[in-house]
Amino acid sequence: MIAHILRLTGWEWYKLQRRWMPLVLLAIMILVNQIGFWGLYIGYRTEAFGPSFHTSIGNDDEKVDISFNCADIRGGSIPPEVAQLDEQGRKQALEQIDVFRTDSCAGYEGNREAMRTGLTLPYSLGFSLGFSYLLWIMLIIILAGSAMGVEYGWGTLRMALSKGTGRWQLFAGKILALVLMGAAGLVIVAATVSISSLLAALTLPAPGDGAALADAGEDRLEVALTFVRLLGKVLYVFLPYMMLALFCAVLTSSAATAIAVTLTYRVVEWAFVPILVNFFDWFQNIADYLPGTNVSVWLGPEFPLGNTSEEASVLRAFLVLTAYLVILGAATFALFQRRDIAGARGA
Amino acid sequence: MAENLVIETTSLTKRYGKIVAVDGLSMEVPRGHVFGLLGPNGSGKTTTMSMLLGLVRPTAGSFSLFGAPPHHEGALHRVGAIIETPAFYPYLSGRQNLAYFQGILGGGTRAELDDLLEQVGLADRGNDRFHTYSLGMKQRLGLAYALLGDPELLFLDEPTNGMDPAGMAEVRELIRSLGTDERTVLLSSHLLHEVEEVCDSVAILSKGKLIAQGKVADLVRQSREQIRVRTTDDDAAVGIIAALDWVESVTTEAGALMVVAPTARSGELTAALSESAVYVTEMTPVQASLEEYFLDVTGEDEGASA
Repeated sequence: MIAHILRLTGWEWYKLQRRWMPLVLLAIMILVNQIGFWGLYIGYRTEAFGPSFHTSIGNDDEKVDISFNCADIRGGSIPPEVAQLDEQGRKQALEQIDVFRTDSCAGYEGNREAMRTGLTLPYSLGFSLGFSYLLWIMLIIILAGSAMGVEYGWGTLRMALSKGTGRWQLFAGKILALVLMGAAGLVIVAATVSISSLLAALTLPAPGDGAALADAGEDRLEVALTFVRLLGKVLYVFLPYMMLALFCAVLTSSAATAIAVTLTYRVVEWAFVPILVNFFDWFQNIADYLPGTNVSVWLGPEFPLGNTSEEASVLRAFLVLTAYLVILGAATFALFQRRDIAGARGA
Repeated sequence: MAENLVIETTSLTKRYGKIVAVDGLSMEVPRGHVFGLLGPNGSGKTTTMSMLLGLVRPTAGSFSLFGAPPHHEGALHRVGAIIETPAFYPYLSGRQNLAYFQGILGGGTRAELDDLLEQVGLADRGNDRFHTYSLGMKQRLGLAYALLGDPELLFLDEPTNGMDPAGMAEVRELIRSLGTDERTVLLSSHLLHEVEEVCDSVAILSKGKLIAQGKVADLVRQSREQIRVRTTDDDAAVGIIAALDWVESVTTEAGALMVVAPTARSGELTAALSESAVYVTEMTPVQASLEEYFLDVTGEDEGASA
C-alpha cells in the first residue's frame, strides 16, 4: 500500500514538473526574494535610511551648520565642519556627537550589522524563508487548487480512477507530491539566495564585532540546523491552506473557484482580522481559533509578522493548526471518496 | 453468478434528483463477446458504464465485475475503459500520457507503449502534445489507453465518435478482433449499424430502462417482416391487402406499399391482388435489421441513428 502511494506520488510529480504553473510560481518567488535580498543590500550599502543629525553652533554672527550621520562619525571620525569652530564650540559639538553616537548610532549599528549578517551565508537562508512564507502560502493555494481542480475540468480523474487506481491512494499521492513541490520550491529559492549571498560577499566590508558569530564554524552548523527547523515550520503552515484549497476543489470540482475562495479567505483573514479585533474585543475569541492567528504564533518571532508575545502558546497554535489539517483532510478525503466523478467540462 | 459472465447487474438504478438516468437495469454480459449497449442519447449508457467502473455511485441495485463486488480494485485492474470523449493531460504528449497511466497502474515497458501506439495508428504522432490532436486522434489514444495492461474487459463508450469513415472502419475491425476468446468488449453506441456490425449481443436501453437484450441475430429475427409492393392500382390494393387477416398493416411509403406480413406469404398476397384485377409490378422482401427491431421496441420517435 505504501509503495503504491509512493508510486502515485512519483507520477504526480512527473505531471506537475511538466506543467508551466509551478515554474511560473517558482519564478515569482525567486524574483520577489531577489528583490528583497538586493533591496536589503542596497539599504546596507547606501545607509540611506539611517539616522542623521543637524545642528548650528556658534554666536549669531558666526554660526556653523553641522550635518552628519552615523557613517560620518564611525570609528571616531569627526565631521570636517567641527574644525571651523572655536574651542568652546568644538567642545559643544563633540558632546552632541557623543550623545548622538550613544543614543542613535549604537542601535543603528546593531541593526546594520544584523543587515550585513542577514546578507551572508548561512543567515541569508533564514532570511529567504522568513521573506518567502507569506507569498508562498498564496502560491501553494494556487498550485493545490489548480492541481486538483483541473483534473475535474479536463476529465482526467475518470481515466485514472476507472482502472482501479484507488481514490484515497490517488489523493494521498497528490498531497504528498504537492508538499514535496512546496518544499522543493523553498529549497530552490534558498539556493538562489545563497548564490546572491556569495556575490554580495565579494563587495561587503569585513564584519564588525556584532557579526563575529557568522564566522564561527560551530554556529554555522547551528544556523544550518535552524534553517531545516524553520523549513519544517513553514511547511507545516502550508498544510491547512493547501488542504482548504483541495477541499474547495473537490467540493466545487473547479480550479478557479477553489483558488478564488481560498485566496479570498487568506487575504480577508490577513487584512481584516486585526481590524475586527481592534473594534470588537469579543472577536479575539474567534481570532484565537483562526488559522492565520495560529500561524503567526506557530512561526514566532523568528519570522516577519510572527507573534512575539510571550503569552502565546506555540503548542496550542500547533494543535489548532493540526485540528484544521485533520478536519479539512478528513472532509476532503471523505468527499473525494464518495462523490461521483463527472466527465470533462472542457476547462 | 455463472462463471462465463463478466458483468452482472441487478436492478441497477441511478437517480439525479427527480431524473432517473438508469432505472432498475438487470443485465448479463458473457465472457468473450462484443456486447453492445444501444440506445439514443440520454438513455443511460454512459451512466451505466460509469457505475460499473466505480465513477458514479448507484442509487439502488447491485452489480458485479468478474464476480467481485462494486469498487473492487482487483476487478477494475482487469478493465480498460474509455468513457465519453477520452480525456488526457493537454500539456503532455500522447506517449507521456500513456506512460503516466501505465506508471500509476503498476508500470510496464516502453515497448508496450510503442506497440499500443502502433496498434492504434499513432506511432508517428506519439510525441506530439495531446492538445494538438484531432478528435479522431484523441479517440485512438483513448483506445491505446484502454488497452494498457492487456485488460480482459473493455468498456468503449462511443469509440468511433469524431472519426472519419476510414478510421471508423479500422476501429470497428479492431474492436471486432478484440472481443474474442477470453476478452470481452462492452461497446456503447447510438449508431445502430455499428452495433449490428460489431456486436455479438446487445442490450437496448431507452430512458434508462432495459427494453431488450439478446444476441443480435436473434433480435433481428424477431423484428417484423415487411414486403415492399408496387401495383397497377395502389389505392385499390391497400383495401384488398388490409382485408387479409394475416397482414398486420399496410402503409404507403415513397410511392410503394409497405406491408407488414410474413415474407413467406408473398405468393398469397399476389394471388389476392390478382383476383381483384390488381397486378403486382414489383415485390421486394425488406431485409430485417436491428434498426427495424430497435424502432419496433422503442417507438419511432427515438433518437438513435442508422
